[in-house]
Amino acid sequence: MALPAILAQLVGLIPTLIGLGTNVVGLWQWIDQQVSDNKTPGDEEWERLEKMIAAQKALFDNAASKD
Amino acid sequence: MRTLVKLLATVAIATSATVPLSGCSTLGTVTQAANTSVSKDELNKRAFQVRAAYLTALYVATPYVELPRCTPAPSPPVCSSATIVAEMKKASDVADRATKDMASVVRAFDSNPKLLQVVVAGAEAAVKAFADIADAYSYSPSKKVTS
Repeated sequence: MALPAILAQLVGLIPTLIGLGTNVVGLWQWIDQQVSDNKTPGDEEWERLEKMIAAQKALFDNAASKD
Repeated sequence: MRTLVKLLATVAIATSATVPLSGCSTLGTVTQAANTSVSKDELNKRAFQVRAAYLTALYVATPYVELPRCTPAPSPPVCSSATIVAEMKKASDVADRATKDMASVVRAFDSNPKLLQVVVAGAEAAVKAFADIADAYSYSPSKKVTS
């Protein structure tokens, strides 16, 4: 399966994320497992992804609104 | 070739979000993407990747947004521009909405798969717009970025 252009672009940012202490390698390994040839993300995987997004978006939105 | 068509569709949709459609070439590109057939599993995987890309862009953008805002002198030695932060927030909100809606319709899979593919391409374009800003202003302590 071809990597979407957006993910290919973000791969270049992995060193920055590692420098920040983000466990991005673990995240990307997990994403890769969910979309491997013999698997497709189910409800559990989608739910886990949504929880991660909600947590990070809360941090982002909170920091963005401190002006 | 298939990937190229998808990429062109992504660019066309991203462009149409900010400027009016200017001619047949843009519409033609989207039509080409709609003519490429994909399976339910493939769409689900692609939607998952695009939503995960939004999460990754959030990871990249957050450190910059967390910096103190730049002010007229004296400004903090390392700071973030309020204007850029506002742009990031706007792009993030658009990408969040687009990818969330995309995930809902793709997972329901009760629409034409070809149409769903265009929806995924549109969501990908929204994430790309956010990721471009996050990428340009990504901050880590070892990389000094001001305003």
